[in-house]
Amino acid sequence: MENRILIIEDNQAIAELLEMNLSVAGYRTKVCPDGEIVLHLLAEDKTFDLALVDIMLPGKDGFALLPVLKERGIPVVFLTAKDDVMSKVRGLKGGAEDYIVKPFDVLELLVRVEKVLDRTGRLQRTLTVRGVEIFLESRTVKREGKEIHLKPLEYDLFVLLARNKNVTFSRERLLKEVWGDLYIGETRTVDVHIGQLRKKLGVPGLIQTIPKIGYRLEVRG
Amino acid sequence: MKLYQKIMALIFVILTGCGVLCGWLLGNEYEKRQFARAADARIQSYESARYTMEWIWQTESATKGSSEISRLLVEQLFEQSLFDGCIWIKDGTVLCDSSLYEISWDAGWREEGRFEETDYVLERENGEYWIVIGSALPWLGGENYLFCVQDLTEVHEETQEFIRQFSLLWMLFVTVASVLGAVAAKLVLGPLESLTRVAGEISRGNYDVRAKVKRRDETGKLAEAFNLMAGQVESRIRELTLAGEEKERLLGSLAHEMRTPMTSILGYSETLLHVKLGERESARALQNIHEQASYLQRLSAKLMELMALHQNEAISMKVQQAGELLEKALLMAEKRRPNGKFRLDRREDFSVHGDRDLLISLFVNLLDNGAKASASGQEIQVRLQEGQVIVQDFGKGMTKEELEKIREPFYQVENSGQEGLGLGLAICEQIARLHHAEIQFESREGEGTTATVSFYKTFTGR
Repeated sequence: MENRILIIEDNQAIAELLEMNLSVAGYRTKVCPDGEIVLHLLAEDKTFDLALVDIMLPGKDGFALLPVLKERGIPVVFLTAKDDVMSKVRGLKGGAEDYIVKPFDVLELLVRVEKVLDRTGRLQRTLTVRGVEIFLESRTVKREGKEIHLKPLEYDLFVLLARNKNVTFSRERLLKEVWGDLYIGETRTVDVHIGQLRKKLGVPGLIQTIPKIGYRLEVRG
Repeated sequence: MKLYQKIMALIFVILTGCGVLCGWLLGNEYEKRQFARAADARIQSYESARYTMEWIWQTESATKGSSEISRLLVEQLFEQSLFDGCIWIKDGTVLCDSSLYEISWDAGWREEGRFEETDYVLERENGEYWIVIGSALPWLGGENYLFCVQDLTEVHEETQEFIRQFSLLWMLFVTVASVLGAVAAKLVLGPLESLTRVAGEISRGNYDVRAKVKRRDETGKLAEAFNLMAGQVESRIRELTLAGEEKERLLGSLAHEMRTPMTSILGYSETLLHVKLGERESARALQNIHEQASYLQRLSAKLMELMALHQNEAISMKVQQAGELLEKALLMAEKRRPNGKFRLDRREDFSVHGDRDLLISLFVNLLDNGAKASASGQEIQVRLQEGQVIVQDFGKGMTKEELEKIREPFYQVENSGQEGLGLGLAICEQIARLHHAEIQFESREGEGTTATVSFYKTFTGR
């Protein structure tokens, strides 16, 4: 089952941007432009896995919505133009899972959303991409019932790409997300691991090389 | 050296100088008079002694015919008090002398014709003063003279004593006058010290300090002028501070205002670059980028307008007919909002001193706001009266909270749509300020809004 994300944002262009990226990455989304309307919405439908919340909203502002969302067990990520420390502290102390300042990096946003979902145990247990199943709890990968043995770094790389289907990652970004900030290495390392991954998975065209940018896991439809 | 000390020193020097001069002149004059008086008294007694001598001489020589007896008589006479200090000189030798004074006959006197008649000279020797009175004794024939000498040192000493007393008194007076003068100067100049202190405070940045001087004299006037100046400086500084704060706020809001479209543009372009999108979604993303970029463009154009207004450039103030400007503005507003129903009442037209384009822009903005708040076909009334332009709509109106914020740059009333920038009223406000006019808003939710522009100073009559 796909994760559902509630987008509370009054600027239509930004709401649409979030919706577009999140749905491409495989999430289901719902947009709500007003703080008051959110309350009505939550009364009927509370099965959201995460809420992206703007702070300055018509109706009720983001800070006021935070306890309401937390009460219903929905993790909150603030997404706002307010970049002063006081607001950040207030948001995070109030119990928000993350605080992202506009203008934000879309890829970073996707990764952060994923991290929050992971942390709160809301990520799907299994991921399926073109016949390849990933069992997140046991960290195993199976294709047509047969297990594929992946090294830990290959596995992490595959999971990252599988979770962000159709999103292109640069080699630097992959290094940063999989190997970690402290790793100092060449982007060649990424190429080697991608090559290994392709060979082991054996699905043609699953991991695409995008010239001059990086790699992406492509799923049609 | 402080001013009061200078004044004190000056008083001291001038008065001392005057005292010395006056004392010297008056002392001299006084002494001369004292001497003259003493001489007069002495001459009288000399004359009587001379007369006595002549009378005795002549009676004696006339009756007895012997000058020898007369001479003895006269010698006797010289021992009497009437002849005290008298000397009889004959042919340069002293015949009789009852004085303590040694007189030596000078032959030159005769040639000069001195002492032919009764005459006197003042002699001075070793700090002692003498008067010598004398005349020839023609009835004796030959070179006979009778002199009389009197010590006048006492008179001189008296005069000196008088001068000394005068000087003492004078110095006392001068000292008192100097001190009093200094005190008076200090009293008069006191406000200056207070002014100096206040000026120091002001230069240290405490602009609200004022000199507390309640006087009607020149220093009071100076303090008054000084306080007036300080007031002007304070209000100017406050104005500048406010303007600076306003600019800062404007910049702050601008940074915030730019962030939203920037987020969209960056986000969509990044999505286009990194994410495999369907054709419809790609088109949507591009469209959004375009829309947000145009918004930024409009924002920057408006901001340029606002900045130009802040710099007061290219403003040509002329006398304008308010009604005429409003008609122009109406045409422009109608073009922008064909559904707006504007009605202009020009009955109380007036003229105003201002910039034509700026005023039209101000009115268009107000008309536009009215039309935005009104439903299609709802009337917007424009009236003129006594230096005021009133734009009234009967649209949805505003709450109190909204009314307080509408003048802030970038503020937009909720649901006013995406097309606006929230800069219209900030621009109006700036234009009004340039014309020393005031804009007031009255509004009630659901009943409509009235905007009143009052031209107080630039209103030049009907």
